[in-house]
Amino acid sequence: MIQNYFKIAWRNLTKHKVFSFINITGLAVGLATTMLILLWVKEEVSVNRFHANYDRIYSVMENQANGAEVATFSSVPMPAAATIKQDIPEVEQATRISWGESRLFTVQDKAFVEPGLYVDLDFLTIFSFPLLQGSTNLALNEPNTIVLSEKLATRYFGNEDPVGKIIRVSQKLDYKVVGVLKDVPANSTLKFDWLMPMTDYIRDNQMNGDSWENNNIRTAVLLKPGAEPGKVNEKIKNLIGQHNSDSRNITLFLHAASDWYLRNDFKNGEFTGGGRITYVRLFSIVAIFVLLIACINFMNLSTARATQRAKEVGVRKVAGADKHALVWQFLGESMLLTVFAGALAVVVVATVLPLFNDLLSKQIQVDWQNSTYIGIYLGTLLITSLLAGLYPAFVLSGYQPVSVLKGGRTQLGGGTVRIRQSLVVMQFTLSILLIIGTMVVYQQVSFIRNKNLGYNKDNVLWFSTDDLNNKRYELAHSEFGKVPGVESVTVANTVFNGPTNRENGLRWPGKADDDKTLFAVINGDRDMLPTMGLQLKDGRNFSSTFGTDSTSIIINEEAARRMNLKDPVGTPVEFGENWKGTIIGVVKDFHLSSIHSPIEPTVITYQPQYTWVTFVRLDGQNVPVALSKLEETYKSLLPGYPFEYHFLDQEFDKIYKSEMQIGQLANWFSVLAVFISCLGLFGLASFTVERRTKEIGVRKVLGASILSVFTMISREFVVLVLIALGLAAYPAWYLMNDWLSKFAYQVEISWWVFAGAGLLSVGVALLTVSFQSVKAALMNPVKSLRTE
Amino acid sequence: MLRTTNLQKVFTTEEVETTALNGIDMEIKDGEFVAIMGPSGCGKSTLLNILGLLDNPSEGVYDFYGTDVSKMSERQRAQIRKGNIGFVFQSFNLIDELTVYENVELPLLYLKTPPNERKDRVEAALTRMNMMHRRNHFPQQLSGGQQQRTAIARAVVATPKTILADEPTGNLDSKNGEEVMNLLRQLNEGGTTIIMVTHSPYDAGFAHRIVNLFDGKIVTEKVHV
Repeated sequence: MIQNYFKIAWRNLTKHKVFSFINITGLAVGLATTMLILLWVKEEVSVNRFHANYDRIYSVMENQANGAEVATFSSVPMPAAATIKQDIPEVEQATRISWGESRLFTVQDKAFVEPGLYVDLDFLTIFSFPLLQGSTNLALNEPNTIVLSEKLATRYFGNEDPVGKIIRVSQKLDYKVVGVLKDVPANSTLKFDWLMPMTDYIRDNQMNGDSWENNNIRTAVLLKPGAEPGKVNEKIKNLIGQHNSDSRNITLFLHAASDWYLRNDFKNGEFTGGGRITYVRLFSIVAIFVLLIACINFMNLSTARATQRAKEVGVRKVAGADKHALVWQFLGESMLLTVFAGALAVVVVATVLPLFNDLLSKQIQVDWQNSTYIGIYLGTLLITSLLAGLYPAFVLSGYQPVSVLKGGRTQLGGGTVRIRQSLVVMQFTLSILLIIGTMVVYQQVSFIRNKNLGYNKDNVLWFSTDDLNNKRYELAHSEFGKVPGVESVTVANTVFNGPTNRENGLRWPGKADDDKTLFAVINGDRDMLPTMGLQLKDGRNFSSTFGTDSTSIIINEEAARRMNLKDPVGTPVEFGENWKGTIIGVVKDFHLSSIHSPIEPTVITYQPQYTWVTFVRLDGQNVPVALSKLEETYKSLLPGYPFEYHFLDQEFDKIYKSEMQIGQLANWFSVLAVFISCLGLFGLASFTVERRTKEIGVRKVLGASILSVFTMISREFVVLVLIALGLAAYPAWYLMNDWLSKFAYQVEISWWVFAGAGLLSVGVALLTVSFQSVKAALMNPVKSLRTE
Repeated sequence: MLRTTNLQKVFTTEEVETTALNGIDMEIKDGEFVAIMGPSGCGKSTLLNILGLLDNPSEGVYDFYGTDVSKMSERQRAQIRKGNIGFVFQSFNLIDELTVYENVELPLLYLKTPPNERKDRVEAALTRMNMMHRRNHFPQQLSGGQQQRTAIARAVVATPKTILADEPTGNLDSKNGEEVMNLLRQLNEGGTTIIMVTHSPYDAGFAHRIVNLFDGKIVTEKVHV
């Protein structure tokens, strides 16, 4: 019997090629899309999970309160790690982790700038970064020791044993290799190619490792098994205040490693549970949507074709089949089809995966032999075939032989047609939701990219000049300035979209006692304003003719607002013990961090010696020549250092990479959803035309024009798409508003987005259906009536 | 034996109520060959569908070999139909996607007949209908007469006690029609009860008895000797 079912299923597939093509393609594209999304979701969820102690690792975070405002930071004082480990019984281990440094490594003639971290000894036991050589207990125990990744070990020492070998760091210090780590996996948020002792970091930066005054280092802890993080939170909450009475507004808390990547959103000091997880959830839903749309195709086409299969059902019933047997038969068919689609989807995924990885900068791999994967995939196929096949199976098997056998032809009841129409509406509702979503994401992304940042990021590049700035600033400044094509040069302690120093110790007349406003502090020079394109609103820029400008500051409008100063220029300010100066100018507001957060109150100082990066504005005439000249100058000033420059606008794009990737992903998925929906629409239209052949013939005999027949057939579908638009509009508006609310600055969703989505979907639907409508309209009525 | 008592069938749509059968009392003995005749719309096919357990009467009793089947569900009727009744239609009603052999095999599959026996019986039926040489052809590759012979082979393969034929020669030319009627007569001579709806007086001449319907009622019965 089963053999008979498969035989007939197979013959049906091969006989009705268009139908099979639409079904298999639609389902395969749907399955492939779903598979890719789920692979991405799996990859996202797997981030940081490779640590054996994953569920016991936490970072120590802090909330800084200023009045009713609370800001959350991941930086804590240097001694916090050791104190927590010593004083809190629930804590087993603790390590400080630097922010991610790049150092010049030289081994004989090889010299590269390599990224790495300064950490404490516990780092290697808290996290699962296995050592291939060296001992976890001894590595990083002494100053000037380094652990390398396998990649770096090979880069510098080839096949030789790297342990005991020497690397020259920053052309100053010799480091002894004490261990080799397996390369850090792609799904780790901590990324590094080397580890050095935290004590060296403190030494090199002339920091005070015992000071509770500065919050300047990341800290991670490992809790003992069974320890409750809530209890630890209570114990560490006021730790900073206990050691430094000025910092009583600062509280500490734990943030679980399982949340580092996906749930890292804090609002006013409260953990919101949001973050990237929103996208993971969103795309999981999209995966289900796309599969559902493909399943609906199958349902619709199968029931639409039911007319043709009615006779078979009748014959089988007359031959003794009961409803059960027929349900199984039709389910069998949907399973066979799903198996084909499933196999095709695997091929599609294997082909598309490299592009997909490229698009998302991921390294997703599929282990095709993994039995869990295979099991889940087969399960999905089974569910898909049931989802797609059950409804048609029941509709088809429900035919009464009496009604279908006499004429060999039957009409479906209005109920089935309405269900089919509802399913089309559902498909298009989901597709239009995706279209609107994509349009809004696209608008927001381009809004961000083109938003006036308050500074001019075009034609500006930066490169690290390390200690050149604090020793030979004037020389470097004038040398870089002489390069042809360079308009101006400045220095800074921030790259304008990376980490920034923040201070709350600024004092001015009229400041409230409890005012702990954090100011972003940019150290710069007299050319900062012209180079960065910052616009002076009031007062003057730093000038070399004013001898005292080293204690002058320029603030932004937001800072003036926070300081409650109507006319800030000339206001005396104090900072720390013995720093006294004056506000000499106000610049228009500008964005120092991402547009996710509002503009910060910002202070610019004239302290070129406390900077590490040089910005250069080019005239943009001949960039390659300017770059090579800059490199020459750079190498003459910093021999041995590779010239690595970054264009500000490109770096800026990187911050919004995740939004842009999400945008592109959404783009693809909505194109696919519309494609699958249209495949279904095409099939349905062809059946409609077939079903209405006689009607069209009669109408044409009675004088209907080609246009009127075309309109008649098309209208049926366009109406459905319009209903879908109506249904999708509100949820789309609501969901996208919710997404936009995550940004501090966002676009308005305007009416034309909906109009555009409607026009697009109606247009595509009309185009799809028109092939069939035109065919119907051109039909020779004599022929169509005779076949009746 | 098949017996109907006061059989009624009313079709109801939203606006109209049509009485298709109006008090049919008839009895068909085992081994009989009965022809049902009458003008279009007189209820012939409706009666045949009820006799063949494809449909239920609205009222009345239908005694099928000692069981009242008039109130049975589609499921129960399907169980009884299996192996007991064979059908032959005017439009043949072969499944286009199955070969001659597979079409004939179908009733045996639903009866779960073992494969060896199935093969023997299908081949026997095809041989009898002179269709063995065409067993691997699809319906659309056959002439009308061949299609109907296949349909008869399918109707008899499960050796049912009763065969219902609904205008079996309606779509055939006279030569093929004659051949089909001869096959039905042979089956009847072998002991199978045959009930046939027809417009053709010639075909009706093959029957033992002719029942004439008009407006859902039996108007005359004529017995051939």
